[in-house]
Amino acid sequence: MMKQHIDVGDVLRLAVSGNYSNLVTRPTGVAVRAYIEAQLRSTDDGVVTVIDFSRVGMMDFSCADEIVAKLVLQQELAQPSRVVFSGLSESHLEAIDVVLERHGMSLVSHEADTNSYIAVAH
Amino acid sequence: MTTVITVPPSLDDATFEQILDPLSRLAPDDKLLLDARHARWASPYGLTALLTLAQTRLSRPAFAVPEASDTVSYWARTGFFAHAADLFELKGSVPRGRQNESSVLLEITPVVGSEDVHTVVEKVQQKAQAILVNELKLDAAATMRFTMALSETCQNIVEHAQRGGWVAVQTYRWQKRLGRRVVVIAVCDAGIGFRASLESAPGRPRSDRWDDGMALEEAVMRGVTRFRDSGRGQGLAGVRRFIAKWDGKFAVRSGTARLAIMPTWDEDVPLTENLPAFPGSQIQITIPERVDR
Repeated sequence: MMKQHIDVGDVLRLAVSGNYSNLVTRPTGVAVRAYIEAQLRSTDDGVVTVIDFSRVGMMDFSCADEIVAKLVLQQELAQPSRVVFSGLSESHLEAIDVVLERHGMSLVSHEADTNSYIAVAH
Repeated sequence: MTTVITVPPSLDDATFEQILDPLSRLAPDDKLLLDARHARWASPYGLTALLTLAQTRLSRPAFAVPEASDTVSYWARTGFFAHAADLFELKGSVPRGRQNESSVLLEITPVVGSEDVHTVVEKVQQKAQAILVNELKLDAAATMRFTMALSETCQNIVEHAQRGGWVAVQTYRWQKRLGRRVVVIAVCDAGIGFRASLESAPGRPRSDRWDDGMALEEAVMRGVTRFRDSGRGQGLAGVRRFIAKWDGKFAVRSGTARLAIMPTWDEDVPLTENLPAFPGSQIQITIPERVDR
C-alpha cells in the first residue's frame, strides 16, 4: 500500500504567519485543512495519507473540529480510511474525541505499533 | 458634573458589582472618575474589567491610581497602567516601565484577532508547566488542557464580541476563602454579549423566556451558537468539562446575568439575574491547588 506523509507541524508553519507550535483558532484550522485538502486532491486513489501531529503542541477544540472532524466527514463521503492520523498525544485525542462525538464518530486504533488512528461512525 | 465611583479596597468579580451598580445609572457620555486611591488588591478579573469599563464610556473617564506603593507597583507589573493610560485620564503617579512578576502567568494582554490568541497561548505555555505542576500540583497533562481552556475563552472574544477585549492570568494564594494557591484566568470584553450574539443566528426559534440568563445557559451548558455549522459551540462547553475535572470554578457574566459552574469549595449560586447591565461578557476561570484527600 502506497503512503504519503503530511507533517502538520510543517503545515502550521506554512499556513500561518508566525512561528507557532500550537493549533489554535478557527482561521488557523481552516488554513491548515485547506493545505491538507490540496495535498489530498493531488494524491492518486489508493494512496493512504498519514497526517502526523507529533510536532504539534496543543490542539484546541476549534482546530480539532476544523481539521480532523471536517477532513473525516469529507473523506467519509469519498473514500473511507483514506486518511490515517498519527502522532496524537493524550490531549490531542481528548479534543478530537469531543468534536467527533458531536458528529456521531470516534477515533479507533489503526496500527498499535505506529500509534495511528482512523475515524469510524458509531 | 463628574460622578465619582469608589473602587473597592479588594477588587474581584464579586466586588466589581459595587462599581457596576452606580455605573448602570449613568449615561455613556456622563463624566466619570473611578477613585482607586484606597484600593489595595485586585484580581485579574478586577483589572481587566476596569479596562473593559473604560471602553464602554463615550467620554474618557478619569482614574485616581492607588496610593499604596506596593499596590500601584503590582498593578504596574500586571501591565494594567500601560493599557489604562490609553483608556483613562490617570490621576497620580505610576511606575514607568515594567518588571517581571513571577505570579503573573500572563500580563494583561489585548485580544482582538486570532493572531492574539496564538500569541497568548505561546506565551503562557512557557510558564504554565512550572506553575501548574510544581505549585498547583496538577498532573502534567493539565498544562495542555489549561492552555486549551485559555485559547477557547479568548476565542469567544474573536468569534462573538465584535470588539476587542482583555485577558490576564495570575496565580496567588487564596488564603481567606480556600487556604490554597489558585490560578485565575480572566477574559473580559465590552462587545455585544451572549444574548445579542445568539439573537443574530438566522432562524433562531423564539421562546417565551429569553433573557441574558437563558442566553448564558444555552451557550455554556448546551453549546448553542449563532453559527449553523454543527461543529461550532464546543469551546466553552468543553472548557466547562475540563474545569470540573480540576474542581475549578467557571463563571461567566453577560448583560444582566451571571452563570457559575461551581466546585465543591464554593458557595456561589449557579445563576444570578437582574444584575446591573454591563456590555459584553466577562469570564473567570479559577483552578485551585490540588490537595490529596
